[in-house]
Amino acid sequence: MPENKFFNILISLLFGLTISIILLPIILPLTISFSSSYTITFPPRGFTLEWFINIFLFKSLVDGFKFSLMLGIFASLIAIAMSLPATYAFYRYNFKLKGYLENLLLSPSLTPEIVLSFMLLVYFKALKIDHSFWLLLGHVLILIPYATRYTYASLINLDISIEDAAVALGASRLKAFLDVIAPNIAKGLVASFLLSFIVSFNAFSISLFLSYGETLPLPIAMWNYLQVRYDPTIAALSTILVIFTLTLSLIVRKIVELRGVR
Amino acid sequence: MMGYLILDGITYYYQKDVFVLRNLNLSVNKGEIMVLLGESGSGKTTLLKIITGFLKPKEGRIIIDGKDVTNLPPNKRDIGIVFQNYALFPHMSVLDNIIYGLKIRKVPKAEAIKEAKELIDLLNLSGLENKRPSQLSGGQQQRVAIARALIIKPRILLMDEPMSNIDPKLRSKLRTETKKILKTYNITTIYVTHDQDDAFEIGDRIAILHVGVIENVDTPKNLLDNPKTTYVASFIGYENIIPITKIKDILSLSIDEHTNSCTHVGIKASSIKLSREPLDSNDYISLRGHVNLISYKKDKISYHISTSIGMLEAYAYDEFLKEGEAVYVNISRRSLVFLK
Repeated sequence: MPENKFFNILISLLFGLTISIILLPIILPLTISFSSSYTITFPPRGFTLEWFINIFLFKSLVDGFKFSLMLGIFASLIAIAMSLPATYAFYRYNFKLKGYLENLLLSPSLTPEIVLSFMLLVYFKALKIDHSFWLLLGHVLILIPYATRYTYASLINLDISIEDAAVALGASRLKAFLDVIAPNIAKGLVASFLLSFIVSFNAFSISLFLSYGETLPLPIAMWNYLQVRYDPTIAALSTILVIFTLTLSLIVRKIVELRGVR
Repeated sequence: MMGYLILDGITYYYQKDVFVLRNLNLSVNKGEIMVLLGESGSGKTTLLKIITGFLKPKEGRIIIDGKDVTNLPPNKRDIGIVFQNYALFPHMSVLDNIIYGLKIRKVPKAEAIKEAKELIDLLNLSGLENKRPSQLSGGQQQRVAIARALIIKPRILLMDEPMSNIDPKLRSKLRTETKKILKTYNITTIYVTHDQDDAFEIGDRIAILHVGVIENVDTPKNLLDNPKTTYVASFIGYENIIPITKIKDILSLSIDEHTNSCTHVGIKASSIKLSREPLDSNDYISLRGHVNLISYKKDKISYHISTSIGMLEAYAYDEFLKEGEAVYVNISRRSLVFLK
């Protein structure tokens, strides 16, 4: 393609526009975190780290963070433990209704979260399931499509016959899975765990509908805080969450890259 | 002589009455390289899974060294498999790949490495022990796969299209090497392929599989000189296959025992002589015909001649005939092959 000055400028402009559409809405409001103003105003005025300290003074936010952390970890682990056998069956065997079953496992991600949340609330109440399990069960349900997708992705590139090769060499099916399949999908499972965790950590409607009692997941705790106090604390917390999520996704990227060069 | 591996009446179907394998019988001698040659859809893959135990036959038995193994699971059969794509374990080094079977058998590591060393030398893999499979060439991967299969001292080695991932230019050289290794080891081998070059170069005997039945088992030479069925003849390249009813009178054949159940006669294009005058010899049957089509092969010219028994293909090395010209087709009597 010939060098074209006009074309190059156009490309640069488009690039700048794309970046500003994607990044600016995330970055600009975060500058409020450092504003010395007592309400949320933009552009920020002055500079202070007070709001970051303030986060830790509110028990509901600190507890919410811990709670969301635990909820995310357990829900992701359970979702992966549940989807692994299913994805393994999809990977290993061909059977009737396979396509339908795959879609069924992905369906929670196609249902609007608010609808799903509402239906689960009704459902759990009708079944008289103990309140303390609502959030966990709900989160597991919304994570299953993600866990399924990412776990499947780590299996799909693996040559199916290595398991048969191990069996032919004398290994039992289980031993073959542990010896030759598991080590090759371990990184994929870690990536799958981290991505599921991010989804759980950010889930709002399902957490709102299924929360019960004193301790609330972080997004709900933040929402409640905003109802009462309109100060930059939430912006400061958001800054931390953005960095936290970004770090997790960078780790995932690193893992996926490592798989590539294996 | 009793076979070392016997497939006795193997039948398999996924749906009743749609047979993949139909009452298949095959006997392989100890130390023999038996090639299973067939096109895709012939039932090769299914038969392979049945021999290795990944599938159970609906009927029939598999006997190895006098023992019925039909009901043994694949991990108890002691069959070494070299998979089509080699199926090396990507996260293990070459050495760990090779000793995996011994690890499963709880052989102490030092001893396993000692045994691996012998195979590594035999298979010319020295220096690659710590490499990952992805760092090896196709030929090296194949040798690792062979070493990994041989280390468990299998009773039978099964190779599934092992040349399909090898550069076609290197295949012939590799076949010779592979055959040498198999013979050094004196291992009874089932070698599955759809490639005739593969089959004829490597096999002690070739079994031709066609729609679930073995049509013909013989040495490469006998197969070429004396195919038994119409399918085999056309598969291995008999250009002319003529229904026996058309040629019976010309040959002045009395329907005797030999030709009784035969339906066709096979004639190789290379055993036909073309001439302007009929050959005056009892060894030949001469038919008058006309050149219908001329086509050029790499090293010869192919003439399609229309005759009273149908279109015949014959070769010549120079272009002495034109299309439409009259010609005599002289078929050597000895080269006629009777086919079922």
